[in-house]
Amino acid sequence: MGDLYDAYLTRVYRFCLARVSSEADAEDLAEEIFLKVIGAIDGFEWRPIGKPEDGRSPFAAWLFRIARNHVVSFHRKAATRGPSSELSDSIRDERRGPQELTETKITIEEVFETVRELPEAQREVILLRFAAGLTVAETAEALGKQQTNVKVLQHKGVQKLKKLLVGSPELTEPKLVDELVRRTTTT
Amino acid sequence: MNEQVDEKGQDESVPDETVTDGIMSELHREEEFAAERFASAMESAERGHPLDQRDLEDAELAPMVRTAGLLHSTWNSVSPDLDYFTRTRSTILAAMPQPAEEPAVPLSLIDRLWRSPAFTPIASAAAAGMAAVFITLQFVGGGAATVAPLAASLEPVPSAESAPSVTAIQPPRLIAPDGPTSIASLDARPHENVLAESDPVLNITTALDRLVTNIGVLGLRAQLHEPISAGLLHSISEDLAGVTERISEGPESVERSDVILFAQQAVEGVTIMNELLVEGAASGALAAARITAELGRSTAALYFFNNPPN
Repeated sequence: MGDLYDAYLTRVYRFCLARVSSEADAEDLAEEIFLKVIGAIDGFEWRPIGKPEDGRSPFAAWLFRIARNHVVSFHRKAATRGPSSELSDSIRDERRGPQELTETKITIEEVFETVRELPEAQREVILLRFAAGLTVAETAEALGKQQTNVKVLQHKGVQKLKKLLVGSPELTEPKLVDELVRRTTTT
Repeated sequence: MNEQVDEKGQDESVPDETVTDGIMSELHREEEFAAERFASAMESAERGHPLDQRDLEDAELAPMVRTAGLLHSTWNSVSPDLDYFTRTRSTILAAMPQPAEEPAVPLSLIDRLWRSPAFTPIASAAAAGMAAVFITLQFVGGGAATVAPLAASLEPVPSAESAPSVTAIQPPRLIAPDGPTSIASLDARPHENVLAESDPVLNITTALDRLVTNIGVLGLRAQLHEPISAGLLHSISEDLAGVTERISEGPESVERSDVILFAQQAVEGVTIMNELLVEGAASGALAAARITAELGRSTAALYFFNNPPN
């Protein structure tokens, strides 16, 4: 479990943070999700997704199905308590992240807020693909959707984000493509 | 008389349903095609492959890929605090249930033979014999690229609990020309919970040898429809997790040939375990072993990506 925790905690945390906007809530949720996973691990059924050489993980899909349900449940409960707090100052001020984000004045918070403007179905796909780092196949498995639908939602979501973030120098600078390749293969 | 109304009484300015369906269907196809193309470009980038030049120059696709790159960069820059990470890790591990007792599965013929005190010297000899076969095949096959098939006489490297009779057996070690190689060390270790912390001082050669043996035994038992014990699966998980940790934390400290052998075992393990169906307490152990094998496979892939052959 220690290895699973090490491998997935950060991804679960990122997914939660994007959904709840508050670091403290995201930390609590991520911990609760892992405790749920421990309780449910015996019920995990191995069903291969795609070809084995694709490296697609049915466990990741299973884990994030639990995470998604848990976050939905959190929001349902939170609805009675009022809106969740904004991103904490530490994220806003200190976690500007990679150099190119700082240089071009796009903050993590701005990207998060833009993603929040997406329709629910697109947002879910975007968060599972980019915050949780799932593949299309894993995302489809986690959401119980067809891969084609996930691809269409991903396309629409990214297209909309591109428009919302238009004017950002990143989107006209090709260096981010190289950065994408580098980062996705080293994290 | 309205000129736009045709002979059928339909308004020409409004396409009839068949035409509308056709247009919608066409639009839908175009949308799916664009989505498919984007997904394919993304998948390629996420696997570390260079993007196609046509994709990079595509006025529609390239900004989309850049937006995706921005999203990846944004989320990859967010991580939980180390304090939180450590604190929660302890909480999670403390919440793990204690290791379940061995499932009450009937002992197989191999188990019964292995547990018999009379079998001890035979086991030792068989293990040494298999070491010779294994190493011979390794060299014939060009180093670590070939994994020797395992004979029916091989048994899983057991834990102290499951097979106390093997505690005293010393592991046969053979020295290969380019370094030490041995088959599974038979040193018995306490039957610890594989999901807890892994062995802090891992001997990678020993762990790999044990892994080769145990994956071989697993495959053999699966082929013979023999019962698979939770102990065997725990042992496999433990070694997979240990070697995975070593490769990810100190890639410079491991030999490339070891990683090749490890990757083969992880892939082999995933393939075998995909076909397995066990019941009772062993099902949790199987799930854990599959997951660790999967993680091991990914870790090895990452190692090869970061350390291309010279």
